Amino acid sequence: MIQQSTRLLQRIAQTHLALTLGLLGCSFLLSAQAEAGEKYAVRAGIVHTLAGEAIPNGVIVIEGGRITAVGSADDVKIPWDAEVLDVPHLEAYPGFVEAHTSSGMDRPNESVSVAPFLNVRDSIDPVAFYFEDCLRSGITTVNVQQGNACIIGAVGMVVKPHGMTVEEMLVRPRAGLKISAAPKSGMSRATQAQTLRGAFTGLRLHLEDLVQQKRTGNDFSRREALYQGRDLAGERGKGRAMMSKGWTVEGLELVPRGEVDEKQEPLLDLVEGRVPAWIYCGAPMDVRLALEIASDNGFLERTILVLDDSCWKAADLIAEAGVSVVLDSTLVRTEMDPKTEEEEEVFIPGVFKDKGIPFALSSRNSTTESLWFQAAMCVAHGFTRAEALAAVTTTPANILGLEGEVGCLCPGAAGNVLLTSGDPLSVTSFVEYVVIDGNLVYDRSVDIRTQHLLEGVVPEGTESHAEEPEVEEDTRKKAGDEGGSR
Amino acid sequence: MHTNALLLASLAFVASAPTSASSSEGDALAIRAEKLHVGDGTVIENGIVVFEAGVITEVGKGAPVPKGVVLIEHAGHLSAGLIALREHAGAVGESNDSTRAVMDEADLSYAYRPNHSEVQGLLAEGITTFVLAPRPGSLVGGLCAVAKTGSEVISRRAYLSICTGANGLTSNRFPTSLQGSQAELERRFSWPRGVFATAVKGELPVMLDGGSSRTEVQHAIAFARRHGLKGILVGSTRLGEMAAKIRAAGLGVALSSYSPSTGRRVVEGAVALAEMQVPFGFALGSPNNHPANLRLTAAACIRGGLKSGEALKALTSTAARLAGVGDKVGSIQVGLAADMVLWSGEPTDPGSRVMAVYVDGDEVFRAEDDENGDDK
Amino acid sequence: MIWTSFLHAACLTLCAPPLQDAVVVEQPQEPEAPKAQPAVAPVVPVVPAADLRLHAERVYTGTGEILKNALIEVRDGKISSVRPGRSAPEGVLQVKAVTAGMIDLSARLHSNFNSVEQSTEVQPHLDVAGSVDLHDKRFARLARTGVTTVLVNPLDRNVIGGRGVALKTHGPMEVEARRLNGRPILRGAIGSEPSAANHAAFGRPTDFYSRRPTTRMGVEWEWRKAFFDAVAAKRLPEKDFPGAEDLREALAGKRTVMIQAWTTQDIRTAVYLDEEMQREGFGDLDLVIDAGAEAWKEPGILVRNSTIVVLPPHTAGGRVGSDGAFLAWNTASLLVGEGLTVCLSAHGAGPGSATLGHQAGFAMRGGLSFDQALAAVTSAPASVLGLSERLGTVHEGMDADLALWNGRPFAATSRVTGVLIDGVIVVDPR
Repeated sequence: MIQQSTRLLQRIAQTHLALTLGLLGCSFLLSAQAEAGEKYAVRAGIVHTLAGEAIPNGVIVIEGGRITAVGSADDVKIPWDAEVLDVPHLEAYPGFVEAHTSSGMDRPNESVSVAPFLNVRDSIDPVAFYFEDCLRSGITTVNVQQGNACIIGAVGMVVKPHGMTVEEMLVRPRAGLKISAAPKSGMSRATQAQTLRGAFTGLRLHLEDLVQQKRTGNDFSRREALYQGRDLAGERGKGRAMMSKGWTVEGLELVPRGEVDEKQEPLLDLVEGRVPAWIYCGAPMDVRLALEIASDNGFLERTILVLDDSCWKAADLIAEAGVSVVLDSTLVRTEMDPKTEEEEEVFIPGVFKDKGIPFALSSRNSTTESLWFQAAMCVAHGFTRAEALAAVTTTPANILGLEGEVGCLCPGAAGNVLLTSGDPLSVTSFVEYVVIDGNLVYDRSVDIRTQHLLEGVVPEGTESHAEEPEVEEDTRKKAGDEGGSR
Repeated sequence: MHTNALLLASLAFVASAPTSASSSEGDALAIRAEKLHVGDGTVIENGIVVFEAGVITEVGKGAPVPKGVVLIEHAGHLSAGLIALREHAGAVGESNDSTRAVMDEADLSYAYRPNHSEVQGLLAEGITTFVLAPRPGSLVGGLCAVAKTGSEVISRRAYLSICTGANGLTSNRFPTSLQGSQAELERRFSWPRGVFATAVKGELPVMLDGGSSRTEVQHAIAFARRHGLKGILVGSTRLGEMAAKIRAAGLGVALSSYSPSTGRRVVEGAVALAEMQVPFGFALGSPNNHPANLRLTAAACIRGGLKSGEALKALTSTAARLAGVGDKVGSIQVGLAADMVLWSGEPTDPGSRVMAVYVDGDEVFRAEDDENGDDK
Repeated sequence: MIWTSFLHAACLTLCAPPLQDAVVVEQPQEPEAPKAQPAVAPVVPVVPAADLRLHAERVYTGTGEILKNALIEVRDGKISSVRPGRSAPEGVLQVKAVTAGMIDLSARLHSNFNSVEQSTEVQPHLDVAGSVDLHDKRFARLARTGVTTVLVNPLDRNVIGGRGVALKTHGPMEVEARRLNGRPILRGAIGSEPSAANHAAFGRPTDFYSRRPTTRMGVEWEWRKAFFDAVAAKRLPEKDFPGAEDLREALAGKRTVMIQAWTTQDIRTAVYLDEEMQREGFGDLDLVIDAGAEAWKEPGILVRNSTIVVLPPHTAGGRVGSDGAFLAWNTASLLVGEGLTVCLSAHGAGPGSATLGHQAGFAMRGGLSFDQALAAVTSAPASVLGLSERLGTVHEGMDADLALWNGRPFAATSRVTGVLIDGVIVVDPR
């Protein structure tokens, strides 16, 4: 039974009205952002923190969007002014983390090959079905990056799948730059590699050029920056020496950071290790290129590889480089040995687990191959539940640099909680409620689209009246003459 | 060597033969080669073959050379002309009618053009006889002809060409499905008339292209057995894997050419077929396939374990027998046509070259930089 | 046994009028025996395994019983005993759970366009067995997912595609040796697929696809005409055509008619067709609807006609097939609740995709009980094939076709790790 305050009910009514006017089927979206100090508590049959033992009869207290206490009902006191979600028949889990996706944008790819100056925030569509489906599958944190058809793509961001604007959805901006080591369609591997290397060479030349200008007293770059309307005040007006683990440009401290061309700046951030790199590899040979580009330019430590299914063959190379990976394809790869003509199956997550490479799963659609389904498949192939759940919670949280913030139910973490009707890895259990930042954002009982999918709601007035159609006498006689008899 | 050259020179003055060797009406020629491959496996050292009016009259180590006959010394090997068991040279575009599935009375000999450059190209690789077959595409493509390269057709009804597999199907005329093609073939052969009746009696061999997969080949073999058909299987690289079944069915095989992707199967197939004593020859299918591939496929099979003598037989005498012209061509024997190739070395050695080719006793090809012969 | 079906086929083709020639082939006065005699002994099926024993923590027999700690003994390709309450003897294969091998009636293992004779729309007599390639890796892949028997049908590009063939996914490498001789199946389709390649004769018709049907009503017309003509041919032999006998068998209920109908309008058409045949006195079809995604919309007509339904795979968004049909996830549960026989299918999904076992799980997500889900992938399809005495349940005397699971069957957290077919370990869990 849900205990809800009148205030919440009123808000629901208001939001329903507003939303159903414009948006079909989104009526399960409730309430807005958490306000500072607002308190929320969840009381569930079992609380799985994924940071220790499961807690029967557990309570989670969330204040100002952050978990302040987790424990058994006996140990944790619920503040008197907290809204309580009292669901002793459900189980609580941390919201799942989607480590990498290109969905939720109006288009996943930009045709310009090298475009690090783009940002996915300009492309994310808050009302895309993808984000609704995330809630249905229990995903509460999403890393949105550009698609794989690029050479160097846009700056990505981590969002939560709830909010009417991108700002409301924001969890972490500038969450990495997307690079693809697999050739963009129409390109050969050689061209792709050359363009990739060329981009970084271009950055280096640009920076050297800036330094040179400063040394010769040329203020062209300053005029250019003003012309572009860039901010040169405060920190942006100061120069800083280049801090990179790879190549470096002497004298960069002479150049105010604001004067670095905005097209090149994201690459400079990457090379200086300020943002992670998400490098897509479509084939094992791309892995070598990816690691080479990363190490040549000093950002190997902040590199995460996004892998297609054949890339398991490069696992040794990946293990040696010490990078983490996101698995962006089917989990089982079948290949035929040309000599014996026998087919061999490889369970890809198993390869990475055995080599000790941290990996995160990524969902491929909202139900039949969502994160829970993939995690369940891992268990079917021999993983422990803890390992499988880690691949969709703590590991992607670590990869995103959000360790302790998402993917676990511990004090200090964001208040992202799933309430499931049973084991989330079970095909017969459902996500019943989702709480994000201490707000109830999904309630399955009012989710019409899920109802339609599960129960095939027939629109009113279209019930079947299918009866035997009338047949006229003479038609019957005619057929009897021509045709056979009984 | 030196003596021989003098002898040759003297003979050249003696005989009033023209500068290029030929055996026109009434004229005889003899050739002595360091190694003479009879074609049944035997090799005669310093063997002599004598031929007159296009027919071989003497063969042997000490074969007597009649007076007045020019003796050509060849510092190399001599073998019967090679035989390709499935060829399309000179008839591309003329031998395949896609409008109908069954062209049972179509006669490929009408599509033969002896002077076509592709046909002439066969000579340069030592191929003196070939079976002109329709391209796959029709269910029953027609009657294959056996032709002398550059010369005439010597057999007009060598095979009835049938595609039992997916290669006999198209999407815009009956049949479009395997079951449809099988039903049609069953009907034709269970109620046989015309060429089908002849085939069912065993008097007209069939050339069965079963398609490439093992299942299709199985169907083809079973089909042949069901109707008591004789003939050869072509087209698949999997034929070697079915050697036992092919032998039980009493069929022969024309092996596909070697290619990098399928070569292993072809080579292993040849070895398996030889072990099971299934008679086989080689198919060519030029111009898609370069004529040199015939011999090179054999060379690859030898490297894969086939005996050299077996390979040469497959290129010559066995192929002739399978094509039904074993009494006319295919080995260096008295009474057979004087179709021969002079090689720089072992015929099945890829390093050897064709130095000269004789068809019906006429020299029809000579390598450009030839050092032998008396026109130097 | 193997050759009777061949002789049957041969007789049918012998009675066929010429399919292509303008010249009329002389027909004899009475059917002759086929000219060819079998020249070789029938192919012997795979040699059955020697005695094999396995121990399972749970055996889901499919008869309503769940046996715990059971020892299963296999002999000569059959289950010779299933005894619960035993501990596992030394060295015996041990698994967590055992079900009967699963059966997919819509595995779509045909050879695509080589499997459907499109020269005319109605080909009831052609058997898809002629185009089945047993070397196709898909058979082995399906076996790895626990599917031990499949029904192979022609591609649904014709109105009436021909006869289907039931095969196990492992066995002798010849179709005639491997085919299961249960109920004969006639396959066809209603909807947009059979007319998809056809067009009206605009301008110059360049191929035989300038023909009827080009619409759904044309498709239905072809069905009705085929049955009418088959019945007419019985009384008027000069009107006979290839496949007429098959159609008459279908009307007599001796040959199951399996019609692909995705949308509710097409399902309706199929049922109405059957009812019309009944009204006309031609017969009563034994009707199975394949890919009946929208069966949930009008279950009433299926109930009154006792139609069996095979459901297509569930999808994330609900839309399935080329006609945009919507498969609600509770369809299986709803139909079973109405008393209908429901079978599930996975359309040939291999390991790593949503296999037949997963489809059973998805149906459970939609409300089907475990026992009903088990039936939908084992005993129900077995009964459609007319092979209930051999397949679909685990008890003494049944074929030793078993799926060995590493957890609870159909759970997403377990999978098939071992498979037995005819007592042979085709996939070894060890």
